[in-house]
Amino acid sequence: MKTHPTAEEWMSFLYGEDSPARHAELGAHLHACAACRQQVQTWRGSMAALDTWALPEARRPWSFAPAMRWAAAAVVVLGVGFGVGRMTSSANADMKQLTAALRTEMETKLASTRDEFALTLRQQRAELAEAVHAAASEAVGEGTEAFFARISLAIDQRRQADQQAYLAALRQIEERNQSDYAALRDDLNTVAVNADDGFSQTREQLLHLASAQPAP
Amino acid sequence: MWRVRTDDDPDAFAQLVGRWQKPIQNLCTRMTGDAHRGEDLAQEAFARLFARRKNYEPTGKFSTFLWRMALNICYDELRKLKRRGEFSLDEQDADEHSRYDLEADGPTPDAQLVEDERAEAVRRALVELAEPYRVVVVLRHYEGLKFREIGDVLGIPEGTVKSRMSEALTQLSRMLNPVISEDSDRPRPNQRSNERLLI
Repeated sequence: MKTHPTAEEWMSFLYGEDSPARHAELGAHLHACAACRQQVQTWRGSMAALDTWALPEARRPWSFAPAMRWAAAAVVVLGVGFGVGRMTSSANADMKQLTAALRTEMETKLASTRDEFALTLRQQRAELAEAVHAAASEAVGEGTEAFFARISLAIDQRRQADQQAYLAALRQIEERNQSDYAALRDDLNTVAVNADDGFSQTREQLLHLASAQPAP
Repeated sequence: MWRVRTDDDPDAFAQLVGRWQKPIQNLCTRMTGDAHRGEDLAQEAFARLFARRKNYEPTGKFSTFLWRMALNICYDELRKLKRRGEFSLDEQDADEHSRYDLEADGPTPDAQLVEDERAEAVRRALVELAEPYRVVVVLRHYEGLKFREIGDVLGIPEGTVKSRMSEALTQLSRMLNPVISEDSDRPRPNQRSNERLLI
């Protein structure tokens, strides 16, 4: 090889991204060229140094499923609110009042459920801490390995219990939202029917008045 | 990702998080030099991924979409920290190193201390590297992306990625000179297996 390979080519070489044929060529060049050998050695030193910064394992697995269900529940509630807003954009004041009241009620319910959920979470965290503490106390005198195994087991059991509790709470929220939504629909239908009856009655009265007017 | 995008499927999203949590968290940690911040940023990345799931075009590669999103979050965070003057090279807290206490078959305390110091020197050097170089090092060396894939994530040609990588390694060599000199005098533990050892 008459010319020196480029830095880009050496990068492919060092990270094994070149073809076998090209790799062999560059390897041969490296044996023959002291300047390139020194440069590649420098880069290799940096690569080896980079390997010394290892990261610990992720401390805890995340679970986004509850958050997703929460988000879905929030979307349902907002969707209902938005739909109600659209439906009540007419001049029907009764319906507006009713939907506003229902929306407020639903928001209050949702806020209370959220508070309950947060409280449950705090309690579960406290219970977990207690479980770990209890495991640690019991494990005094045992081997370190057994000690950590017990803690790990306690955490796993707690995590499973937490997940079950989250799922149950979220199912409850979803069911409540579904029933609220159904109730809202029924109420809106009732109001619509009543309003329709009212219009019909008014129309009939007007017709009656018109027909009862004396001729000039 | 398709199931998340079209059906808002929570289980599919949980699977996706399980698959990508560690790489994204590592990326954020190495970009910011802070394990706790890296964890927070990774969670933010997945929250944003879910929020913007409709923006994902199935014609594109999902990993590219995710890496890019996580990197943007890292850049935003780094900008914020620089603006507030909070970005520092401070040593990571003891928690970061406490894992060594649990490793029964690990090196002796003295050797462990040396390892920790070397790792800390590397962390500092990486944080001192300019972002365009740092991101290439993190994605290629630590996360194992091909140069071409890095080019796709960053929207630059593959050749540019390689030249940035060579420049980054050169700069790191200057910054880590004492560590590297020391390193050449002793066998390397946990050496990554690949071509670099073969010649």
